Amino acid sequence: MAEGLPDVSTDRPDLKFTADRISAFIDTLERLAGGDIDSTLPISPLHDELDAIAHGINVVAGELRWAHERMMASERVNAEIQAATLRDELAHLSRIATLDALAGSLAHEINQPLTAVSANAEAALRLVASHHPSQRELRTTLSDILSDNKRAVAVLQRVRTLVKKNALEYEPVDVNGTVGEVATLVRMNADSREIALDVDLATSIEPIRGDRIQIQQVALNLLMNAFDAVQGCETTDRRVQLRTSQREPWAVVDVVDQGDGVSDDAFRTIFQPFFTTKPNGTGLGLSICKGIVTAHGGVLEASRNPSRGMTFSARFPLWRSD
Amino acid sequence: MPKPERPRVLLVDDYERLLEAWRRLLEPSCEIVGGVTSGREALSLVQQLKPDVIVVDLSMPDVSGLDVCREVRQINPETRVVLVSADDNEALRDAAERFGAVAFVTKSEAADELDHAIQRAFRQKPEDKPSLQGNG
Repeated sequence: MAEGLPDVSTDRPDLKFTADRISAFIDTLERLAGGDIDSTLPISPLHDELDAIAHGINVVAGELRWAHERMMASERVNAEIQAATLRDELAHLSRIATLDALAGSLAHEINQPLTAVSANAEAALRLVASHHPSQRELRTTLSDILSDNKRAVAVLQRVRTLVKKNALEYEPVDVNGTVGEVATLVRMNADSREIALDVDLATSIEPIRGDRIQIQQVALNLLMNAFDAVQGCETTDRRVQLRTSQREPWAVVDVVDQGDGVSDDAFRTIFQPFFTTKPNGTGLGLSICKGIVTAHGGVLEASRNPSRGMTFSARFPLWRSD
Repeated sequence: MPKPERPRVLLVDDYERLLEAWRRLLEPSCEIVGGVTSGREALSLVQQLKPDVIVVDLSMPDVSGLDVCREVRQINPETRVVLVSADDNEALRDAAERFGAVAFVTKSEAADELDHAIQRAFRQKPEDKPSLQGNG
């Protein structure tokens, strides 16, 4: 019984029944005020004025529950939006860090066609100045200049795409083309480190729905990690494979290395933020990759190869328009 | 007037289209005996073809241009090495000289400079030891 109410004589059961119902109202209102918003009042078979009040209290409690649920949902959504924004910021910074590590080989890759453009332009000038310039030779030289110019522009565009900080764009993505471009981007880096990069793309693979740049980032990080993993091996063992496949209902990107692998402890925590086995690693790369793959409804897994090294598999759900 | 002797030149760079561009530029003044994209291939061709001059890119995926310089000296001391590089600094020029290159040409320089370097290297006597510091 609620405190402060007078005792009602047992010889007036009608009054006692009423007093008990009012006490229940007060108890319920106190519980609601204390935060127990699941409290409700029973409705008696009498359907009298007190039941009308009880119904009113239940309606208010229901409103409170609804408002509370909305508030919780809104907080959760806000927290999720904040986490996604943070993940995108980190992903962008990580892309820049990875490209920074690639800077030397990218400069070489851009410099190669530019040097050829310059040499071919001089050759063309000399041809034009000669007594009987060969039209065929001149045409081939100019066509080489165009091809090399396109090649340099393509490298720069690939870099620009990765450096740009775009809003996420979920669209149908061709996995082979997307990760194939990354393989082209890191090929020079692999060559300079005497790492054999085998690219084995599925002959046909259905599109996935996702953000192309973020998917490229996953492939970029996994490949650069794999290069680091095999760097200490003998030259003949420095092998990394990038392969794609379709395993219903997934599109799968595997990066396989022949490195030394990691210890049991490291394997357990490999995707945790700030975990790294590299002297200068941030420990964010794999964690960011996992976040990206998960945000695409996919799964990023690590496994040990039977022989040696590790395989990282990123699975993305296939996109079906129907 | 006798036709001037042309140097027999082997070209080495990992970018095939640059080899083709060099061939176009140099053919009027040089006999291009080959163009290869790897340092290892280049070393085996030096043994086989004994070119007068070998033009080598510093940055190669398999064997560094500097290693090619050193190995060429062992395989055929008569072959002069012209080292070509996208980078240019005193340390590189110094290393090129120590490893046995007779000329150092940067990729940003005009192709004329490469041609001149080849001709100078070809006419140089084996005992001549030029300084590569800052002479392009």
